[in-house]
Amino acid sequence: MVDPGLDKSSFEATVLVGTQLCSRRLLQQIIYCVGGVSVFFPLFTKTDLYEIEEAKQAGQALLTPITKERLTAEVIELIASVLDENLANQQQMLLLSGFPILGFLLQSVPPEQLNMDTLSALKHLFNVVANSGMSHKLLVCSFLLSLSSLTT
Amino acid sequence: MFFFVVFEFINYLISNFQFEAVCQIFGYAALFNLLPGLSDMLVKDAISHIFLNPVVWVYSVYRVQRELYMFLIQQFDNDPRLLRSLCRLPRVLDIIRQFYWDDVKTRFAIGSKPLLHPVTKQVIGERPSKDEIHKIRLLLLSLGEMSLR
Repeated sequence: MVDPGLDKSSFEATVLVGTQLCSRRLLQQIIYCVGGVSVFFPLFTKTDLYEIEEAKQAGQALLTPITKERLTAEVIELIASVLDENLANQQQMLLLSGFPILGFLLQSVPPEQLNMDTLSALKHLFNVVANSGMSHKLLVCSFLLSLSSLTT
Repeated sequence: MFFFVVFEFINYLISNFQFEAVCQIFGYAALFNLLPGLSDMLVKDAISHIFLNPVVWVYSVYRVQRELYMFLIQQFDNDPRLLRSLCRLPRVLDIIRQFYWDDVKTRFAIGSKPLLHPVTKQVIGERPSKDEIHKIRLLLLSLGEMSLR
């Protein structure tokens, strides 16, 4: 596997027997591999199916199961956590008209799902999106200003 | 027209090798929030398609709707620019006429019948009571009043 054109000796290492190689990535950073933040959108239409799943797994639940009332809120929290502090995902959200699609999907969510939990999850999503702009803007303007002082 | 003039000016600066001036102009524009950022566009999208979209909320319970409009009032209070671009008085009046009416007979009324489950035909959502609708309307009107200030 070693590329003959490159001298890799400086960072090569011998893997001892019994070593398990693994690397970890945050879901937020690799979600683009499966289509980005929009992969979560179909979950909004699955609230009816959840009942069946819940009944099936009731006996052998290891984690505390999410109640049906919190289902939509949990999906929104999931989207918020993917967008949090991640400009690439936020940009994708804008380019694929994520919020218009979300609004359309929420229209067909049953009203009992549109409860206080869902509203506070949406508020959290809003704050995630609204507060990330400041650091990005400061970055852009400091870059441009430093560029201008560099050339003079 | 405004943008045309601006780009003509930038074109002039670049063609005269004043790259640093261009960088400075954009840098200060970004500093003083003159360029629309990613988050501004996302915020606008979120408000106009989710929060200020009563088709989503009209059948939810009164407590949720009250909280929703209180949140909107707070956001518009924080950033009056949003109010000007998204929620002028005509829009507020339109929302009241379509969703928070008192009289069912108007042609544009939405939500006059309870929401039924498509398969079982059970009632799954109803508009809040007349009293509660009245309170929501007051909240919306205060939003409209803010846009006139």
